[in-house]
Amino acid sequence: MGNVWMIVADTMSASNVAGIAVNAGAPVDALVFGDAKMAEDVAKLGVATVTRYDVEATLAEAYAPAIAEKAAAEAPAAVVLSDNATARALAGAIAVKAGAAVATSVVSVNVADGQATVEQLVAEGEGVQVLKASAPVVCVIADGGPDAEEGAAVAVQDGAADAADALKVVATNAEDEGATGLLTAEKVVGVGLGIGGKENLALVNDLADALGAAVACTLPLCDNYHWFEHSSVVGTSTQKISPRLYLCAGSSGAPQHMAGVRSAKVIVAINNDPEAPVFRECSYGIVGDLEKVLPALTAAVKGA
Amino acid sequence: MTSIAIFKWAMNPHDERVGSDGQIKWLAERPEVGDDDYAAVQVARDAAPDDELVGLTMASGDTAFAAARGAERTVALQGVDILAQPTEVASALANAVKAMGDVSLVSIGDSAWSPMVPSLLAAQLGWPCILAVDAVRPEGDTLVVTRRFGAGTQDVAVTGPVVLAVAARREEGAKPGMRQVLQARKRPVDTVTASIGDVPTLEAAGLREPTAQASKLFDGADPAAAAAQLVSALQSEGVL
Ligand SMILES: Cc1cc2nc3c(=O)[nH]c(=O)nc-3n(C[C@H](O)[C@H](O)[C@H](O)COP(=O)(O)OP(=O)(O)OC[C@H]3O[C@@H](n4cnc5c(N)ncnc54)[C@H](O)[C@@H]3O)c2cc1C
Repeated sequence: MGNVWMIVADTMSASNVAGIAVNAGAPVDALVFGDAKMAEDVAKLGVATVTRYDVEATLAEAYAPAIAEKAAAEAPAAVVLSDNATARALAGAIAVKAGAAVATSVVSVNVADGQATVEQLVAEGEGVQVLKASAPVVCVIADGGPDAEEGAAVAVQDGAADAADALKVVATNAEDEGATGLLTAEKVVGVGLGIGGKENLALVNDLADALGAAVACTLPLCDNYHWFEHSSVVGTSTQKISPRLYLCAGSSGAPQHMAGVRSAKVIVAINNDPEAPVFRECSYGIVGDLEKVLPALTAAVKGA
Repeated sequence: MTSIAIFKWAMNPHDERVGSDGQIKWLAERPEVGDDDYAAVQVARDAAPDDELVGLTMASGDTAFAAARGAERTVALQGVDILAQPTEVASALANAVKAMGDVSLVSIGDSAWSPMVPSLLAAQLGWPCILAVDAVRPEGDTLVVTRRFGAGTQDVAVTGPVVLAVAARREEGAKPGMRQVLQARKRPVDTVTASIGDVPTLEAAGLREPTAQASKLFDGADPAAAAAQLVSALQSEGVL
């Protein structure tokens, strides 16, 4: 009773989820739906227990009714997760069975006397709303929060749960995750329509070479111009990335693009329109013409 | 059997503001068309081409969105507050689905604007749920659902009623033309008062300023100076 649960079904968001869960002021039970490596990584994040559910043979979503029963029996004060699709599918079942309220864009959870107070970003980050729960609460975190500190690992337990038989995996078509290196890159240079012409891509590649960065793009450069493969697109239609540095040149910062990069530690924008929305979401920006700024930046990086 | 495609059900966070009185304000009064709504209608149609397709919305004003994309009729739910929490929105939708009787499939946008409503809706109906859906194809009594999975996709076979949350990859290719829209406006729309069950909610207990610092912008009129300032800032952040 009164513990915090965290639900993990992907590697990228695990540390952010733990960053909020382990600071909630109650012991954290991690439920991991993934491979042994994922569970071992979570075990180092300051949690009290880790239970791994095997999703090799069983679809994670098929465990939803059983996990919901477990939540109703154990009554966690809060259940913390990222917006990963599998985690959300499980959390919906948990919320209804355990009688939980639901908050999204959550930046902090605090459990006292078995009840949670939750802080949630509102108005596109312009404000933080404080919410009090009188029942359990399911919290989907906002991307880009602090990582959990790593420490000694706890033992990983194998979870056993009945799986609903209405859902069966028939095929998994894994794309080559290593193809563009974006998922693991420490630094990424992103390019948008403001690049103007294909010849200007050399300016982006030069900067990426100087930084040792991978190159990503916005959707129109793939869909409309075919200058990039779909695997280079970042955003809601493809993938999220979490480099330490994301530097984007000539992108307005549409929500569909920014959703893919908010987990970057530092976002830098280069745009000639001082009103471009991307400047509201970056740590640093240069207001100027990228044809002039990119070569100057490449030179400055080489000289650093 | 009936398939339901839900559209215009989530508020666009772009319309949310913090007012000078420290209260949350919405510039729009009703949910807007979401990025994924067209794909949700498409998936409902592809899943059961021979079933009746019904649109379900929380919009007022133009409710012809699903009808213009093939729905025979539309149910418009009224009376859901714009500040309704995900549990309440899901309850209103679930009760509307239950009231329609013989429903085999509910398709809804997997909206970034409101990421928990689809799975809450499924759980309130007692149905399984698959999120991040790309496409579906019926195979006999089974529905094969392709959903995003890591950097690739996964095909999942489903039997029985299901909630599918569909995530569009891009803007709608061929939007319905004026003729289709005008014809769609003649299709029946039942306006129904939403019924929201006694679901748990959170109590608002204040609003505060975010702690995140504002962006630091350098003037690129002198590119070399701006580049030098940026490089030094990134060095002190430890990311270069
Ligand atoms: C369902 C759906 C899914 C989507 N998924 C994605 C997705 O996954 N990823 C994605 O990226 N998009 C996605 N989009 C598209 C998204 O909505 C935007 O249209 C897109 O991201 C815009 O790309 P952009 O920033 O390159 O172009 P624009 O929005 O046109 O921005 C170009 C910017 O370049 C600036 N600029 C112009 N010239 C210069 C110059 N010389 N120097 C400096 N700056 C300059 C302009 O001021 C402008 O801000 C999706 C859309 C939908 C509907």
